[in-house]
Amino acid sequence: MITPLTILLGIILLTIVLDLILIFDTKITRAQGGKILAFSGILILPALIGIFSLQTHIEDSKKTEFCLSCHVMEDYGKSLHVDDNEYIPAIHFQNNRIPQDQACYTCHTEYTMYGDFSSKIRGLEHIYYQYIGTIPDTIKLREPYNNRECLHCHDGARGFEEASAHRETPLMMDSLKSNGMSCMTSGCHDVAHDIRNLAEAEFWEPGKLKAVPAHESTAPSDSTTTDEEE
Amino acid sequence: MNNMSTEPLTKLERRIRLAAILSLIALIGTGGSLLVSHPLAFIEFAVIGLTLMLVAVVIYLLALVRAPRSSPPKSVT
Repeated sequence: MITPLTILLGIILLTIVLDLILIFDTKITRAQGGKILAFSGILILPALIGIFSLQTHIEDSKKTEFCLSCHVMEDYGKSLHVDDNEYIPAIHFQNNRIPQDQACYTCHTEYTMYGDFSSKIRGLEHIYYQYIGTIPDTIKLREPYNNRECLHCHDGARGFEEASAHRETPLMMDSLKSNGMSCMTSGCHDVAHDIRNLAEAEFWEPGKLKAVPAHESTAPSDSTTTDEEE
Repeated sequence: MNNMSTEPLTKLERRIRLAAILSLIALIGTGGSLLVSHPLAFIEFAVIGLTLMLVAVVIYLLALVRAPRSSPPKSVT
């Protein structure tokens, strides 16, 4: 199957051939055709390759596999497979509420104008800590988790808007939407990756069926409407 | 044609060859980085790929700008 990456690699191969011709037969540039070849092989094609490769790398950095390729992130990857509805990342991951191949990125990017860019800059800092600096014993978020990242999907969803727990007081919904009351640290959805307790956790194995209690099997299939049952 | 093949490379051609060599290394680095999904692959792309590509382009463009102008053919009257 021809993918954009295959095409990009094909163009790189073609440009390598052009450059080899230029290296071993530089006098070819004395002719008109040789000048065009040099212009293409050194300027135009490498510029295009640089732009598309950068784009490919940026897209690649959104992959779960990419984030988990650092040893320090392994436990966080495992926590996505915990068989416990209390684990917010796990329940999102296992039920396809977030794309499984972009699980980390979906929740840990900022949904702001330059959120994508700032996430990448933070990612570069992570590389520094991983290979040059010192990895801290406890990995923490730089700033408290913003409800904005949850509301990017849940805002407007029936399960979120109509949940009685979100409407306990008249101002509660406004407070949630303005990030005044945190979804994660206000005692409601406070179990995130919880890697300290992974040793005692049970893990979900994809493809291995497990008996689901009757009251859970009749739950609505729409992902957003089941959130508040957790 | 024989004269052309025995002539030494001009300064412009030597610079074009250098640019082509740098571009080749950059392309190999870039191609290799695209095959792996790892943070270091991005660093390889940024350090080897993008940097050398940029240097090659600058050398090539400078070579063109600094190349001596070939005199126009004299018109036969």
